[in-house]
Amino acid sequence: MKRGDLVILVSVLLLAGLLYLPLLLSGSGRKAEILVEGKVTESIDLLAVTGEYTISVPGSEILVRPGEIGYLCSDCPNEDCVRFGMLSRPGSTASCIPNHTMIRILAGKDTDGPDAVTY
Amino acid sequence: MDYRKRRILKILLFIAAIAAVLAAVLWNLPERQAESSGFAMDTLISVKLYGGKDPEASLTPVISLFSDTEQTISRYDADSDISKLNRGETLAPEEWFMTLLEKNLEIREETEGLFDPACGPLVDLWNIGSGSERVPEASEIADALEQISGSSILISGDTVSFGPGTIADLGASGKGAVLDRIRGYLEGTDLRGAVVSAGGSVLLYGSRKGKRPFTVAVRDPDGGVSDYLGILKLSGCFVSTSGDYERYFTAGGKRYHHILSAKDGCPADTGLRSVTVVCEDGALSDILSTAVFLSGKERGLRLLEAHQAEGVLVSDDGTVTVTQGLSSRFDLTADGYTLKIYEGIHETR
Repeated sequence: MKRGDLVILVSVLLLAGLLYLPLLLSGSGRKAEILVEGKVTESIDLLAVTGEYTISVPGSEILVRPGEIGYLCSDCPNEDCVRFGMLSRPGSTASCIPNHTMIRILAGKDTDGPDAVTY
Repeated sequence: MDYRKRRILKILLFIAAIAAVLAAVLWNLPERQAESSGFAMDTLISVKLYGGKDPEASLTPVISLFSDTEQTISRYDADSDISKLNRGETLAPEEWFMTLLEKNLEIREETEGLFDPACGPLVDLWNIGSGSERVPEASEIADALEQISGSSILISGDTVSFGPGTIADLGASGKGAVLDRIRGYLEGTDLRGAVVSAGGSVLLYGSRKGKRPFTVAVRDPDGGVSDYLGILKLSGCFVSTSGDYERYFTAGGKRYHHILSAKDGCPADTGLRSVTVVCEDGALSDILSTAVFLSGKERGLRLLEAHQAEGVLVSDDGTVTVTQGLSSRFDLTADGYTLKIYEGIHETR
């Protein structure tokens, strides 16, 4: 193999690598979002959380811990939103329907979570 | 090999390498998509649209179908068609609403009244999910059942009216009905695929680039919201689930869920924990999941067969019964369950 061939080979591989980089990077982290009335009000990388804290949304308190997030308490009947428990899996959601709030963990890559959940 | 031939071969290899890289990148480029979630019909809704020239433009029409359907069938809206009918008015409703009523009546007949769209008095009596639910007295249940058995839904041509005392509640089929309407809208667009959820009822439309079929997780009746019983791999269909874990309250140490039998007026106790139905009609998948739950496993499986529908039935002994058509499309992922394939009526004889 000549030097010229090697340059071409390396540049093709580099080009491929560069084009794939954004796809590879998009899958890192475990991003959670809090939505009020369908609009995202908070966005948290759960893997970067070190301590434990709460976030207030209309009608409920949301607990954030390293790697997980969930409703802590709520003023809604039955506290159905609290029954969802702590979410950690990409693609999972919890919602407080009376207060129109929702927590979801984004599926980083397509392979991370199902397209839908039936319950 | 002479120099010229080697040179041509090298150039060809180089072109092939570039083409392979470009093809791989194009294949992996995310297609256009639009997403929205919010609240409608007393539940969480989620809309994901894939492909087409401008998927964003289709979000509003899809979401407006939710509000339009809610305004027609909500009992909490005094101006809705269902409220007017419950008050004794005669209406000439839209075609989709008539079809929905007809499907409800069909299953009422097939289940001999176990499933009944005129179950309003019972739903009001238990009031499950309101925060002020209670276990009713036996006499109250008897009164509600009498009211239900005396109810009538009269369809004549393109008009409909309810008999005296009839209180219909389409809560068990409304989500499926809106998904049917959304599929009708999507068919007129250039979208490649869509996943639309209303609560636990799901529409899978078309496909998405590089990923076929869609995956739908079935919730584990014993677990939390992130715990899945298994995964269904499906495309071009509707999926709906009824489970005893979704809405319930506890009184005197006993759990009362929201799937009420119009035969004895109580939460159904048929040995089933959850029923997932897959079929090609949204309202029917919704109605059947409730009707199968109310009917129990044996009768429920026959009901599914009669409608060419498929299902995943979870029994309280830990058996997961999957109909033949789903046997290669369902992966049981949760521990502690036993998988059984139901191959047809002859198997149970």
